[in-house]
Amino acid sequence: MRIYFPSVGRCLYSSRARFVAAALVLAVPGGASAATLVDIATDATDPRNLADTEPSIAVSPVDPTKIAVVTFSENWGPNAMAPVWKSDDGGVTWRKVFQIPQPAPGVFGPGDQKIAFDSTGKLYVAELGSGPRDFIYRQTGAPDAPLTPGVAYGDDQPHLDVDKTAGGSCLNRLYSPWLNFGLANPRSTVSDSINFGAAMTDVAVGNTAFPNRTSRIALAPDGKAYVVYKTREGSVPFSLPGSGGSDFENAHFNVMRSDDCGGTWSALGATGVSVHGPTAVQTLFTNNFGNPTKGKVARARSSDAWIAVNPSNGDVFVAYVSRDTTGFSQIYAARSTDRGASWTSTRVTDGTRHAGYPNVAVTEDGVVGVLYIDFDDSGPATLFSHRFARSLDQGATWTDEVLQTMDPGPLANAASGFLWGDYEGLTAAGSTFYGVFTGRSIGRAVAQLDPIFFKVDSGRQPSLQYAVKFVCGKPNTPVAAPGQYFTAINVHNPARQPVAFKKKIAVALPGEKAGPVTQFFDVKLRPDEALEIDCPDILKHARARDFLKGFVVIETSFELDVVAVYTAAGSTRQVETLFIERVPQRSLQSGLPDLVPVNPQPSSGKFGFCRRDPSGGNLVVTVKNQGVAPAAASHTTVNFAVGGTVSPVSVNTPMIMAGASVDVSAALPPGCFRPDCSFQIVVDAAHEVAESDEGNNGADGLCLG
Amino acid sequence: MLVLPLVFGLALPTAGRGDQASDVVKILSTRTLWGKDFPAALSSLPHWNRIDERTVALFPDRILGATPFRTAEAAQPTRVALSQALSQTRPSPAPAFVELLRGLTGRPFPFQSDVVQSVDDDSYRVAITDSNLQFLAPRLTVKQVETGIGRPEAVTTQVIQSERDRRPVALTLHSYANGAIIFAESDWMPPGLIDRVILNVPVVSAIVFRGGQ
Repeated sequence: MRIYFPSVGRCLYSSRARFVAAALVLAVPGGASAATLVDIATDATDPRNLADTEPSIAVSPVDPTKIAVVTFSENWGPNAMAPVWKSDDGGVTWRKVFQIPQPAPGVFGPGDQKIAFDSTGKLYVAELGSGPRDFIYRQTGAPDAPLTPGVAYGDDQPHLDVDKTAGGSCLNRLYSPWLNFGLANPRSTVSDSINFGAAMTDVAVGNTAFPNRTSRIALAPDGKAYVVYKTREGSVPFSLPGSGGSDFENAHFNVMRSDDCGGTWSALGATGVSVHGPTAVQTLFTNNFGNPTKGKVARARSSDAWIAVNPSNGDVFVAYVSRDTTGFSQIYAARSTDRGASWTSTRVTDGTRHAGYPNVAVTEDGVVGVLYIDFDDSGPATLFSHRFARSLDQGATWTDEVLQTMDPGPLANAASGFLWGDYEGLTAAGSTFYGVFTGRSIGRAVAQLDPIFFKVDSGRQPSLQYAVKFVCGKPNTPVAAPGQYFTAINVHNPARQPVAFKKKIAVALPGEKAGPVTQFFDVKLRPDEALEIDCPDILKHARARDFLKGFVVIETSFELDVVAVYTAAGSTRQVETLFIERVPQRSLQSGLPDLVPVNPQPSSGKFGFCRRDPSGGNLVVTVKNQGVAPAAASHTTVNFAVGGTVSPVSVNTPMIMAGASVDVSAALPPGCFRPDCSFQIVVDAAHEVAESDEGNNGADGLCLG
Repeated sequence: MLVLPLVFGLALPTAGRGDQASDVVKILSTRTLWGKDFPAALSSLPHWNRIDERTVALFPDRILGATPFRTAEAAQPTRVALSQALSQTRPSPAPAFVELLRGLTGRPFPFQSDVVQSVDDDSYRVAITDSNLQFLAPRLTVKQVETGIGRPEAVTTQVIQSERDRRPVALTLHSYANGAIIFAESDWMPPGLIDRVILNVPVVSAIVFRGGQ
């Protein structure tokens, strides 16, 4: 069963949000920015009404319509296999494939789990069995055949990812972080494998000075591997409502990096870099997420951090929990543009409710998504909301929508103390986010917890379109001269970064009739790569066989080289005509760009603009194009006050697409700190860009000496 | 305490509540539910009572005390106390259990105490265990229990947290005799299989033995 939820602003309280959502479902189903919700389980596939908790999701890089999810659904045993939920149609329908056998006699489970694909679309699952021991299951046969368990390794909460970068030095390296409870201070550890789990090599990471927890991994397109973990530094005397005990602890969320395929993890120092600076944050550590006096509650002990990498430019993002001055546990997103050396954080949530369980993912068009949960206990029962937030400007600003709000109280299979599990699932492929959470069932005979799949576009509107005429096949009616027509559309990525685009087929019918238009299909090209869209591809996407005419429509936010090659053969079946056309781009956006300097920490006023690179010698300035059209390359000037005079520093600023941001660095002039350094930022200082608002190009900043 | 059990459930309206003692006698006398060593388990109850263990869990091959300890060393004094208790004489069985306990009356307790780590929460528990023990009927199911003694008075859920992040054990508790005897399923085991039977030591012991023991 599917339902559509339109976006709901973050300011709506959940009871109102539910009403508005329901009303808007009726009014505008399938709104442009809506997430599509699908209950993965059905009465047929889940006859025992299991809770299906702690879901994890992966999308095949070969075919994004193939999606796999694991949840706590059914156990393996001596004569039984645990299941993987699979979709072959982009998440519309789901099968329950029993293919995780008992890894060894007497080992029960699953106790924890995570799922991933490799670059060829083969499936891998990390599983915790009793013992406790971890196992990597790898696909060695047909996609639905029993998976093959690897060697026993590890301990608590194994996670998983596989390097998919073609041509990279770490291609097919499998990584599995886990927590070693066998030490006085539990320690984050990463096991890696060159044979997909048949053998594993353990490498201790983390920090031995404190107990570690929440070990998560992300892999970058340049082959670098990142883990985030937290150091537990003592409880905080602050309670969640109705709890009475301590539900928070001091912690640092640290990122470590490996530049040698997991061999060592010291690229950012022995214990890594704190994403929020030297001061500890207060994070959740509780079995009482919610209000125990108003219904069921959830466990949130390793439910406070996640890491992801922008697949296009390698920027690293960490979503983490911090109880801030609002008094609420909030979701923050930290971004690093220098491979983990330095970080800038912004708050994702709005400071009005306790929130936790963040997952983060980044689409290929650079949009950051955060899945999280908050609760509202202002009424008689605690209402939990699964929410999804997006940022189109690298985390500077966020919008979010309520995916679902539920009261787990009446749901018989919702076990208080665990509810959805320690985490949920979020990933990205192309320009689409794919997620799964354990929420209230949709369309089941018995209302219960179920795995709920959602899919949502990044929300970044493509700015460019290429409409390429095609003629394919042999006409049976006299709409074209007799013969065989061929079209080959060549697409080249001239950029130095991967480019995601999407394509669809618009069929043109004779007799002035409009033909069908297919859905968009996501495509990705790495730097300097090219591909060809030819007649068999077009006919396949259009589900046509014989003669077909129309347009292949390509939409993207980045400039491409698109060249169509038309050939036709006559009665000799040899080529008789050859025509090559370079297809011009069309701007999809009307209006003007609008460049502004972005304050990364607005609550700090002009001090917020003081962002220095790791060397300390450069001021980092974020320039955002908040207009509706691309901004051409320009110059940003920083006027530093030095000894009573102004010392301007001008830096090149590249083209910025609508809604996007870039960071530029201006060298701090000698003598600026006397003792403080004040400055003024002016974007488009040379008036090279015609903007919709020319009056918002400046901002004052101050760095304390 | 290491564990924080959270119990939510639903009382079944069809389950009648009779006299607790007669219900206990009926349940413990239903031989299809129990294994060959069940009499020994019953005979150990006064000893558990003597060390103030209020609840014990009967697994197919072991009896576990309910008190959790952080380390095996911390559990040793209690294990020694149980061992000493086991060497002492037991009270005479009540008439309804004379036949069941006939082979054990007046003889030393046949099994040793031990300290084991609980798979529920990784704590250490005092236990009576041996690989050949058989306290429950092999592969006992909820269906067999209901066939033998009827539907439970209440079915509830108990989540047992450990200090680790693995999926917690969720027990489905089928309560009989005002909660004195609970047949429990574990979500780590195949569905419908009884994982353990939880006995209220003072209550059951007082019914099984003369003199309120």
